[in-house]
Amino acid sequence: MKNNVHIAETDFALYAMGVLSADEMAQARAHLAGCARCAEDLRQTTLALAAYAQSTPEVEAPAGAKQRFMARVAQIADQPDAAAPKIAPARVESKSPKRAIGWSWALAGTLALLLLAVGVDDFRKRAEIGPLVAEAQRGQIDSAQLNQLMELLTSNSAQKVSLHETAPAARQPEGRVIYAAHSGKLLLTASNLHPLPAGKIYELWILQPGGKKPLPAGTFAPDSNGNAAMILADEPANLAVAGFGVTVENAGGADTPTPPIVLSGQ
Amino acid sequence: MDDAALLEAVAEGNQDAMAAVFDRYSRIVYCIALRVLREPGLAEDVMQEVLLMVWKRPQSFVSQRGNLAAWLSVVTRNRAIDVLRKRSPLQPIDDMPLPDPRDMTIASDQGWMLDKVRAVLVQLPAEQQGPLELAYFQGLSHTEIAAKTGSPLGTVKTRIRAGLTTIRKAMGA
Repeated sequence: MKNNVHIAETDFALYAMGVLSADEMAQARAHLAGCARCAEDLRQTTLALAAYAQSTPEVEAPAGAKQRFMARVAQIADQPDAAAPKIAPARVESKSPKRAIGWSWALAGTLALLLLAVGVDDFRKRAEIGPLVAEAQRGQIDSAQLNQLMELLTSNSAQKVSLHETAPAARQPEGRVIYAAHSGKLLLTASNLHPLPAGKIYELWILQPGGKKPLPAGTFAPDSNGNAAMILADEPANLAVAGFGVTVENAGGADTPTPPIVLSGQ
Repeated sequence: MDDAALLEAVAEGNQDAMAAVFDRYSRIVYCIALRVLREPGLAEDVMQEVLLMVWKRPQSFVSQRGNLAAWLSVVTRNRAIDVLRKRSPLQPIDDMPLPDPRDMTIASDQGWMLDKVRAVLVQLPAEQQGPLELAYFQGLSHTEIAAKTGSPLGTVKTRIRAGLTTIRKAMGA
């Protein structure tokens, strides 16, 4: 299953059920990110699976289940921090307010909670987000921003890419990108980033197949622990993505990447 | 009160509305989790987790107008399979695709449509029912199903696909 080859009909159901091998899942996801035809077929398959699930004969929940559930609801409602997730102020620098939402979420507790809630258990680098919250000021999360993130995290066609330093290093900077091609939303998290010289900034690039010019996706700076996270709401949609790269640029960002590429993944 | 109005109320922190959501969907969520996990305690845990997602972020559904029943069904199955896999260290936890709520716009919770689906499932050949059940409600890969049933890999895939095609036709009929 290659990115430019449509997903086999017999594999749609297996992909939607999450029972393909890890490699096959990744290949299917990469293809779905840029193929409207397969995305629509997947949608229809998912709907059929929903109907199949709903065809299960209904049975009553155990006695007291509603009381236990509503007690948890009340408990959450009584905890302002839990009921209204908090975020930290932006650490990401964006070249254009229109291109990025205008903030980076120090997502820690919120994101960790959300990741658990939506079942994104493969998001292995969840812990790297944690330190951001610990040092961040607390603030009320914007519901629209939360929706953006949840849409991205729950999208079954989002492309997830791990980024690694191109040369070995003791600290091993690394990152992870989730890109939903259908909506143009992108989430980057990174850890162990090297401190930047004055006047410099990290910049994320979308690498396109066929040697096309890399597209600038946004700039960001690490915190004192080398962590960074940003979510971008209006990256170009339906791109055929060959990978992602990170370079160090002058503050304000660049239109073309300046070698070396310090992190990359595909 | 329809789902949209209920979710608007939930988004405002109305616990009575959340109780109504529970009344409306807890049975289907619980029975799907139970079918996968076969343990009432674990099934209730999954049910609570899934329904609490609605309480914690109702805005997602309010704004996206997805079909709540269909979305909850798929998410419940996926979470239950995830729990099932975690209990078996020999089986890796693969990526688990979750549906976009906006994609679940078909009125798949309509009783008449589900009746048709149930009707075709009863008549589904056993050689299609078996692999579909093993893949969807037990989370087995086609390789595992092939080993379990003695069928070739390609045959397993084809039978799962054929079963789902039958369901899709019933939904569209």
